[in-house]
Amino acid sequence: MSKNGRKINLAKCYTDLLENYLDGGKEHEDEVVRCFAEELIKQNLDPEIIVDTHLAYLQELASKISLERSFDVIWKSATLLFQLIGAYGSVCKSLSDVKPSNHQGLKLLLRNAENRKREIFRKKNMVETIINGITHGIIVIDNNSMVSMINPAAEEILGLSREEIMGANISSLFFSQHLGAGFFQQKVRACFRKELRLNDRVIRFRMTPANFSADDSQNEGLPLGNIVLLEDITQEKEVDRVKTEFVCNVSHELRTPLASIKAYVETLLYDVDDEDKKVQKEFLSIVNDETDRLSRLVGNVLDISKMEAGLFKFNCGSIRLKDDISKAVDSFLPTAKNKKISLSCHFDKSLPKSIFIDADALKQLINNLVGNSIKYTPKGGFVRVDVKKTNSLKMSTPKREGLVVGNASCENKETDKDSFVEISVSDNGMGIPDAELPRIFDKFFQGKSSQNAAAGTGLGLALVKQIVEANKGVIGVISKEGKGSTFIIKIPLIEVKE
Amino acid sequence: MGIGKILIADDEPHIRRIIGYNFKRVGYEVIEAADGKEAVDLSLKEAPSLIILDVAMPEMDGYEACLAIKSNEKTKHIPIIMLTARGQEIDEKKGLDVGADVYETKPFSPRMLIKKVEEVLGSEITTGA
Repeated sequence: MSKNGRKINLAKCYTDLLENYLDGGKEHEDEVVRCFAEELIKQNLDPEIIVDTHLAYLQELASKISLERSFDVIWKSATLLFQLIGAYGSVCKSLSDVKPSNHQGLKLLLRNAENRKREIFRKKNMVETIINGITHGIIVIDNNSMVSMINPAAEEILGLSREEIMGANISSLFFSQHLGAGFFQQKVRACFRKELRLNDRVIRFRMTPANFSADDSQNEGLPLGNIVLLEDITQEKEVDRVKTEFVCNVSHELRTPLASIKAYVETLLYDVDDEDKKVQKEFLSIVNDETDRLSRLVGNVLDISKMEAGLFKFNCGSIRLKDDISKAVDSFLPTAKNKKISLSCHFDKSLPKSIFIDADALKQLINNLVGNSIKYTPKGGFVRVDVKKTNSLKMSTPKREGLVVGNASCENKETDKDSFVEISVSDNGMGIPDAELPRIFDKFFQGKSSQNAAAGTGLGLALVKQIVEANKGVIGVISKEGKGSTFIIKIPLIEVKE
Repeated sequence: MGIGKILIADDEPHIRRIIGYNFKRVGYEVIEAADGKEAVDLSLKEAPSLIILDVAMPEMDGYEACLAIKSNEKTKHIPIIMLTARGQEIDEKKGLDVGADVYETKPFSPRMLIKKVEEVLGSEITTGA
């Protein structure tokens, strides 16, 4: 037999042997190898040819590696080669110089196999990292509705552990009440979507048929299972709800002064005696006030969107601190009197006469804070405004009798100024529950307790915070539910010398 | 005096004033409540012929007040017109569910409101309840 002929026969021999080996269990391994080695010896083959043929076979396999199974094959095959050489060597001592470590071809092959292994592991790791890190829940189920894969996000969404889910029938676990008992039995050919409520969360459920086979022709396009995607959309829904609620609140708030204006104007137009100047004047002044209220509200809505977009322009100038604040506070006297609330304003002597600030912004701060305090303080209560100069950014209730000491929530920001105007607005009203304290400066947020008492837009405090921060100041609140609240703002003091 | 007693429950004094002015003008007696609780109390104490009830009020909102008035044997016959700035359909359904006889939204026309009240009170007389 020629050398080439032997090579070809040997290659065929190898293929058969390998397939035998790979199909058989480990227990046959040694025996297969020994028999084969003896066969080779019998044929008196050149050990070089044995090794080269095997290598050629392995290299061919290596070039075709695309799936992990082929990778397994090459490793098993390489292991076999070592064993084979070892067994052959033990039978025929003359082969002892053929060692895997000094065979260049084998080294190269092993290096290639190693690189290939790394690449596959890297890709596998990448896919696993993505699947494990993604916020969407992923569940893979087979054609018998058994769960064959689940990622951590899905475990979290379902509130079940991997052990409880893996290998279980999906319809026994969950969704049955949402999707109907037979849902997972039917063949799903297209993507199915539905929104579900699960453990107080809103979940977008999507199921897509999946073909996991490497070879399409084998199953004639029939899906081998389904991929279920779970997306927690609770937050989106919440944003949506808050927006809808905002629109409702704004429309309610707009309609209230509008209702007054419409009713007074209609009455003035048709039903007030021409001679009754007193009533005419009273009604017109109410229409005037309500128009102002309406413009303030529209202004608030516009201002906050402008501030958020960074388009708001402050128009700073020299103002007389005491006069401006007193005037703003005094504009609430009629409302306070109506609710029998005592409203007072106190100025510390250390304050400079004039400061540099946007007069409208200052007025708005006072309006929103005092307005809120009056709104959330029951009949017979008090609202007081304290203004002083301070060097500290610490938030603490002014030490005066009757003011509450409660939990504080404040937004601290670095500021380089060392003296501030501190304006605190205190009341003995309904206060703010601890749970709501961190959120009260959020846009559109309205405390549960405040919703019924006096609907608002949920914009007042958000706007105050925006104004304070745009002026490099800080804002804080100290409050105790049922006892009252103190809102404190500190704005860098820019004194104007006269 | 008068052709009937109207209870106006609204936390906005301006709204109470203008509704009160108009009803007094056409001959009704008017009493006022500034919150839901007061409305329930006055409906018992004053036995008004009709109640005009706002929804968003402190202490007790209009829905609760309406339910309280309509579940009390002594006051359940008093017609209630819910007058509110909450204009969504779901709000109206809620209002009618708690027993309001009429649901009207703000802004409103005082003349139309008087007409509505006359209709409600008139139909009460003709059905002879």
